[in-house]
Amino acid sequence: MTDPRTLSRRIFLSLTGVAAAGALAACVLPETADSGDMGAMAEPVTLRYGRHDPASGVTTTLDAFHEEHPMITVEVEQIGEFHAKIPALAAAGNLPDVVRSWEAMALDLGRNNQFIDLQAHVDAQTDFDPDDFYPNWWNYPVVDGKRYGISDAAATHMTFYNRDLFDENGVDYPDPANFTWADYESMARAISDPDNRIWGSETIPVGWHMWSVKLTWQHGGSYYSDDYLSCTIGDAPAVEALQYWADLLLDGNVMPSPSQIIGIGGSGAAAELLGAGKIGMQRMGTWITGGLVAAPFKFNIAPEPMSTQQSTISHGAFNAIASTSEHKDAAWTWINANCSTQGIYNYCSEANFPGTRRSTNEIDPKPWVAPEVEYEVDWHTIPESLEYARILPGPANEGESLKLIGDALDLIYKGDAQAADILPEVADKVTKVISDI
Amino acid sequence: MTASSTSLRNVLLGNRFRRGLLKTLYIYGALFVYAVLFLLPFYWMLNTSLKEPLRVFQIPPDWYPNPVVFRNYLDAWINERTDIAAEIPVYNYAKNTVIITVNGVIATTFSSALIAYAFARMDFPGKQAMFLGVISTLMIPFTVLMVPQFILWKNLNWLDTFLPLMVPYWFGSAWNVFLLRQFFMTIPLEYDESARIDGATHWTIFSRLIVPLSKPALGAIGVLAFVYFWNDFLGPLIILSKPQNFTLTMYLANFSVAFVRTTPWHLYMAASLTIISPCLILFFFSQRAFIQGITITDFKR
Amino acid sequence: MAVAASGRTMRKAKIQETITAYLFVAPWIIGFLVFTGGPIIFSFVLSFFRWKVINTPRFIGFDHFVAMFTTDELFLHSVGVTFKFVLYSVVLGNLISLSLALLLNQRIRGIGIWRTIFYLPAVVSGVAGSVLWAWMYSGELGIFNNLLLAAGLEPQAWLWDEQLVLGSLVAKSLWNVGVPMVIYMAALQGLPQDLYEAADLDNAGEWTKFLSVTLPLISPVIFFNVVMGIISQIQTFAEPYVMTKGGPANATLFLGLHLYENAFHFLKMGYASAMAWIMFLLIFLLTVIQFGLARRWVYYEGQSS
Repeated sequence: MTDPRTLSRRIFLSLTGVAAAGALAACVLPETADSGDMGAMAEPVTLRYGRHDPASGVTTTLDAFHEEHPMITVEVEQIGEFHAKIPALAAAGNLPDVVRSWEAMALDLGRNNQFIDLQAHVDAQTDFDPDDFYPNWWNYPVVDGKRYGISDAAATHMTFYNRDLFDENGVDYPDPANFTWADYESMARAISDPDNRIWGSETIPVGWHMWSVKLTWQHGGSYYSDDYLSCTIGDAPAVEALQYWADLLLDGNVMPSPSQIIGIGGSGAAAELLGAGKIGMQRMGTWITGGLVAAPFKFNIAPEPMSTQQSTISHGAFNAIASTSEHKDAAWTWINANCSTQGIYNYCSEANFPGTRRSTNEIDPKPWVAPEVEYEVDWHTIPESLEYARILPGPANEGESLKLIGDALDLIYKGDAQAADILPEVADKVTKVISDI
Repeated sequence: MTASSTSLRNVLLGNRFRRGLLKTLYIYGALFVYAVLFLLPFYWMLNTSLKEPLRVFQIPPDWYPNPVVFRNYLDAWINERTDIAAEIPVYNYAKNTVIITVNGVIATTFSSALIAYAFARMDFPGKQAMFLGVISTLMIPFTVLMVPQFILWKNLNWLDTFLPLMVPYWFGSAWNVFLLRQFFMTIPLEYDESARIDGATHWTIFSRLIVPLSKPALGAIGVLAFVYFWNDFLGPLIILSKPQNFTLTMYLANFSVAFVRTTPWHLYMAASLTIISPCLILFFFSQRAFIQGITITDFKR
Repeated sequence: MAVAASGRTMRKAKIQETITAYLFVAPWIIGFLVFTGGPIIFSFVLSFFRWKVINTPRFIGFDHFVAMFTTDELFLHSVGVTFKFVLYSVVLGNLISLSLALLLNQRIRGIGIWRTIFYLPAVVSGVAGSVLWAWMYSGELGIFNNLLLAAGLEPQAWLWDEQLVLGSLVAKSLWNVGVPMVIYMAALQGLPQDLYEAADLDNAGEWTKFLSVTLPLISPVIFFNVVMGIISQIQTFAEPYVMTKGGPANATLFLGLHLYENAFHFLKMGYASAMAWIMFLLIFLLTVIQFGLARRWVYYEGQSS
């Protein structure tokens, strides 16, 4: 703000206004609304709640909330194409009062003062128990001591496997207590039958380079340092992890090639082949459980394989309050209900997710269990994964950094380059990008 | 081609009749080849949309659905698994799409014709520059106009209403203005001149002469506009937020969100085919009106 | 005296004509001032600012325009990819749509059905069409590879082979020639028959008639389709976004996609705006050149010779 080159919005406006004063008048950047909080909720309040998926997941919670708080009406807005619309809403000063936002985006919006620091609300709420949350989720949306969101559900990646394929090939199932990458590879090789279009392992969907981060974690490396200020993808553990995967992929006897799966995957991102009985093991978020219920084979769940470290990736979303909201207290009341033990449970049980609160995961029936499945499944591995799962990293300028990493990974996964040759250089470039806050 | 070579060909081909037959064969042959290529994707869509869910990922794929599952079409629209349909009835999406489309077709055809008339048939200072300005607006990618436009709608208080998707089209759209200008320019100027001598105003010339003469072009624009508004996705997606305001294309896009597990390709294809069918029906029944409409020669006689 | 009076009347008539003309174009002027002009100027000004969309803009002068040709390794690459695509899709697209329109202008049975078949692809939106084609291009489940296999040929990596992928996208774009085709059909319908009758009297062959009568008469429409084809194809976005995400190895990183990624994935809206204006300049120059060349080959009935 002290940078003389930083223009105030007003100057910026008048500058642009010179050219087309009349036309532009309605086009100006709106002043950030002052937080005119209503103190007591004497008057009826309508809250806008923005999320990326249809409202059905929160219907139960909404009904209960409206009964308990007749003065607050929560209107759900479904924001399709999050990447484009959230910035547009922010630029127009029109973000919904409460935004349920994804990992990196939540942090980015927080860093740029689009969300308020929730810590004061948390502290003022005497019955709020932070220790109920799994630490990784509770600590994630905090930047420089400021809290930019409260988590609800978690979708961790597990190894889903097709038991029938294991049985047919006489291969032992993965051991949930000790499942290594060496096991994974040998099982995949034993199951693969490329001539008949059967593969032991899945392929990471084309272009989903943020998912490769879990490989580096499992080998004791990472994309970024813990403070997200430097890129560590050029370090030995990350290089080894990514090269290992590239070698498996190029082997031709472990998993389908990217060209074989491109074009198939929707948002389920190529879990379709597992559902069709073509894949022995698929490491994927727990949302695919529902799709496997009707599959023509028996499935089971194991943790993701490890080499030096037990780890997996998790998706999560964080409920935040926009700085432009005029009803911050009411917004907190809604977040408090939506992220309560029961609120999280209501959403989780819609989609086979575990919650990020321990108390949520104690409620029966367990939300991640698909009751239609009559045979035995190691469901317990899902909540256990919350103890070690990490959340998708959220450095500043995450999109640009991922493009640099992704272009390098494309070369490595195509066999056109060796990880050790190109990743150190990429790491330097990425460090520059993410430290430019 | 000289007369002698023509007669030589007549000799070679035997007679005129045989030449006609050859031409007919050639035409139908070409049409057939093109048709197969153009229809292949639709066949694949139809094939997928009628498959049993578990056979969608059969390798190699079935060339035809067996068994044929017509139920997919019902499931694509009334299915508790989509969740979206559970809260908002399908006709609501359809109604929103129809409102936006009907307004768009009328608005853009009418206003663009008016503007194009001036560019094609009148003389006024700044005409060339202004016309270049009209086309220029098409050259700036929407990507960078989206945010400023969004701020504009917000300040007009038009967000989450149909207004941004309806009002601007009453002010002409560059693509249509350019196209109609090209068509209007093919009409001989003498028509206007003789009408002017009879004392006709520009409005009369426009509405009584140019518009009737340009029925093919106006009809084409109407149909193209219909398809554009019917299919428009990014516009509504950015502007509309409340589910009760959503359009059919937004319903389709929700497939991949609502089915968080895996994409139900059979249902997606069924829904896609359902959505495009009104455009096809419209085209099929309206083409005679605009492609075989009044031509300039008819008018002259 | 008489000359002066008629001069005055003429001037008066001219002023009146000008006023009427402006009334006719008034909707466009108003629409531009209210809806389009603001955002356009806004984006131009932004190109000199660093703006993450979610923060306050910061003035940086011409830095973005310099970066485009120095530090951004992908900008010129994406321009190259785009131009290659535009060249093939516009030339082949116009050849196919014009030849289809000519075929459909013949006396044939079931004309309505034929027309509908060729128009069919145009009713599928960019996104839905791209999803469909990606599905058809897929390795194991796609129709193309299975047709090749059925014919005893090698399957191809349509979207994963750097040499092939741009061609795959061009092929998809050729499927969408319904719009130019309809415009050509409408133009062919409006052709005056008397010129053909005159040509018949000269005993002209089909090809001669096409070259000397049809082509000149529809040249304004060819001009339209080529100009608009270039303007719209340069901005191609949905196909690479849905089908390839710009890959493999950026082989399908179109300018439109590079711009979108910068704007919304990297949140470099100022930079994206700068790129958009360079893109604008490119398209504008191309269009102006075409308008200049048009004087040599486009024939307007309504123009006094």
